[in-house]
Amino acid sequence: MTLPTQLVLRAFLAEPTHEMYGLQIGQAAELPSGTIHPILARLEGCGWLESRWEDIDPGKEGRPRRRYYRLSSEGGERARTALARVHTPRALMSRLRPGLAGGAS
Amino acid sequence: VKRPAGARDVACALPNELFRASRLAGEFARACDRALGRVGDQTFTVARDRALANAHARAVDLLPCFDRNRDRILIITGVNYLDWDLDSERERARARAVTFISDLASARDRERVRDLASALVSARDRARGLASDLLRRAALARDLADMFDCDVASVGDYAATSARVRDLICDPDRDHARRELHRTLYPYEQLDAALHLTRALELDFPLNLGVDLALNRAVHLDQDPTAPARILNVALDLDFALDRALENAAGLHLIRNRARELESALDVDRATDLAHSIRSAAQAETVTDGVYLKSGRVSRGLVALAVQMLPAPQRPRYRAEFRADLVELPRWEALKYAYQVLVTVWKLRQALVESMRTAPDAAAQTVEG
Repeated sequence: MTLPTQLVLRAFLAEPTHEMYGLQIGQAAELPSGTIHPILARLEGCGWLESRWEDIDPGKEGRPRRRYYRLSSEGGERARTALARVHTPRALMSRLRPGLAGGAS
Repeated sequence: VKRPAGARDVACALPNELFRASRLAGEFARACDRALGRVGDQTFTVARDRALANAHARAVDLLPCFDRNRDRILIITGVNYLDWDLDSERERARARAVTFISDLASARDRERVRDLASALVSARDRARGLASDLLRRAALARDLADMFDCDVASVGDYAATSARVRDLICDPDRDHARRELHRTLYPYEQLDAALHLTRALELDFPLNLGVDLALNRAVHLDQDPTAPARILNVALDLDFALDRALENAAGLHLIRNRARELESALDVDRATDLAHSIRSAAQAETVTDGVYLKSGRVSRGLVALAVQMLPAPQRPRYRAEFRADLVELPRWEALKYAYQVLVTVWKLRQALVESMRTAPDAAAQTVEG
């Protein structure tokens, strides 16, 4: 599992029931926005994530609909298990994301 | 007998005990000699009997002391041997550990780690040397973004650019035509420079990170006997990560080459076609869903171009998803977002193709959202 994938999963596991869209996920994981969608696509393809379109009227809101992502019930458990098993040097993680060094896993 | 603290203490105490025992034995012998001498001088006298009695009494007093000291020496010697055995076993275990560590981190591997660290230091120094250049190029890219957004007519009017380029192709003054072509296509060259900058920044961060990590490990090389083996593992992981980074860089290079087509003055048709597709896509984005889009035309054009590289069934979803992200960003951030989407779209395409291959039905359902 790559480090960006771990960061994305940790961002989701911080609030497992919370839905987030692309920009939010990038900010939560502190990753460049362009690197988020390939990871989301893989996780969604594996069934770890679910996504849906925001239920709004774009004309009234003055903005397009967002695509919201959240952990599936199975994906949450599998993500926790995978993060607990994955070996990422603590020093490396603390350098990358000080807040996640001892993070949720 | 108090047990000595260690083999070395026992070894130090042993000569003293032996000396005391020999001194007592000598004293006993001298008392016997004195008694016998007195026997010779006072034969058949009472003094002889008294001297013998004294010598005997003295011998009786000395013998238990000698026996005690002899027993004590035997005990100390036994303890000494036991400690020596323990020390020997400890030394043998230590030797086995050293051999084990040496097997794990052979001289060749240590040299390899040191070479890798040295190479990484050189790479990091070069990267740091480029820092000022990168900052300068970042400022240039920022100015360029402002130019893109503020002077849409000069960059975004691709139809006029195309007409201008076609006129120049027919210009009989080839030198003049070439100069004008380069001037006309200068904005596209800057676009390529900005893309290149994005790529350089993306590689610079993990490279510095890896170098710092390797250096930190190398600092402990001579302080910890198990460090070579652990450093070797880190170095191998780093080596693997660098391979993957190079693989990613190769993918980025392909994307960048496609963008570079814009600046080719000798391939005007392809450049104008690509520019036209950006302009058309950007214009289409401005009216989609009747929603006002505040992000720049160039950003939307780049995103539209990136979406064209995705599998056809997935394009509507990601076009809408990227567009929703773009409208929330300031212009400069939107431009950066669009660049990043463009240079990483091959990864997204790869992920989508794999998903469609493994679960084509499920993937098709997600397209409609």
